[in-house]
Amino acid sequence: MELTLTGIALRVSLMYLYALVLLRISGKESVSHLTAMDFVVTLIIGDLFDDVFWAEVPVLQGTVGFGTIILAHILVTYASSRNQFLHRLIASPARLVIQKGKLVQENLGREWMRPETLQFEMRLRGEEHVREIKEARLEPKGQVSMLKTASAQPVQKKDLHRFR
Amino acid sequence: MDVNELLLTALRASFVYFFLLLVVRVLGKREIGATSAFDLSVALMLGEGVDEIIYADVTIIQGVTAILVVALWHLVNSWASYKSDFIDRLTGAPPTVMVKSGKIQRKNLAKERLNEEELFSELRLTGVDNLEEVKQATLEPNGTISVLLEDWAKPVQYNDLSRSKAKMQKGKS
Repeated sequence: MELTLTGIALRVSLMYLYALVLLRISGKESVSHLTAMDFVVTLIIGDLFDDVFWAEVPVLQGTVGFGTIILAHILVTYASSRNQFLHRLIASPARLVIQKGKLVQENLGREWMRPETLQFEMRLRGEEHVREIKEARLEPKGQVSMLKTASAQPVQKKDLHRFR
Repeated sequence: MDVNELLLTALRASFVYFFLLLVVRVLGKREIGATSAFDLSVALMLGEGVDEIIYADVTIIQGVTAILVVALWHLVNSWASYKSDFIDRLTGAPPTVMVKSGKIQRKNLAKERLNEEELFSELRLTGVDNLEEVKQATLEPNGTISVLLEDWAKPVQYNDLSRSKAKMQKGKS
């Protein structure tokens, strides 16, 4: 196929619209659960499209390839939202890394996470002291969640009357 | 383009999807979580090779080999940098202190090629406009700046209240 400018513009527009529609159909749910895989799927999409842009692959084949990936992703995320066993198979569980102000060394080891890494995650949230953290978990999406101990919680308005 | 070829494309795409699902699951949450620029590159390497597999420019075996080798090296790298301080320092950037006790560390700023404007922008993004409130601002390995506030600049916590209450009661009695 000859690579004319109008041809490129046409194929790019076509794929752009196609991606817009399919991603809109696949919905928010698929972007919130398995972020690592969502991310990889997004990369695959971009990757599949450039071959169509340069007419190395017919438009039809590109739409089929992309459609299949999205379909598989929708099916897998849907199934894992419905079935606990499948969910555990696909997403890694949250892992406790700080408990009652102490590092849980065993779980840090399991995740190959250095204490320094945990410290930098704490600093990123403005947390300075491990002793003020009741529970911290490495969540399935890769971030670390932190819950503070009762005495280190920020004061809420409902508590002020006690001190008047 | 006959129907057979389209069916084969769909088949290869399905295979690639489930194969990558497996690889991502084994690599774990932190490895693909794009915590560092390098993790991002690895994710790109995994994603960018697949068009050739799906469109049959390479055989499935060739494609699988390439993906497996990238994944394997990334696993070896994460394991080794967990086990060895030396390799950790070699492969990951250590955190750099940018502000210490309200003072800008110009030498470190220069070392990280960070402009003062950028530093102030980052501080503003965390809600800080007074440099004196900053006990320590650090450029972390993932490229973001963390801010620890001075004790007096932190929001009030329950244990602060009970302390002031104890003081008040002492004053009364």
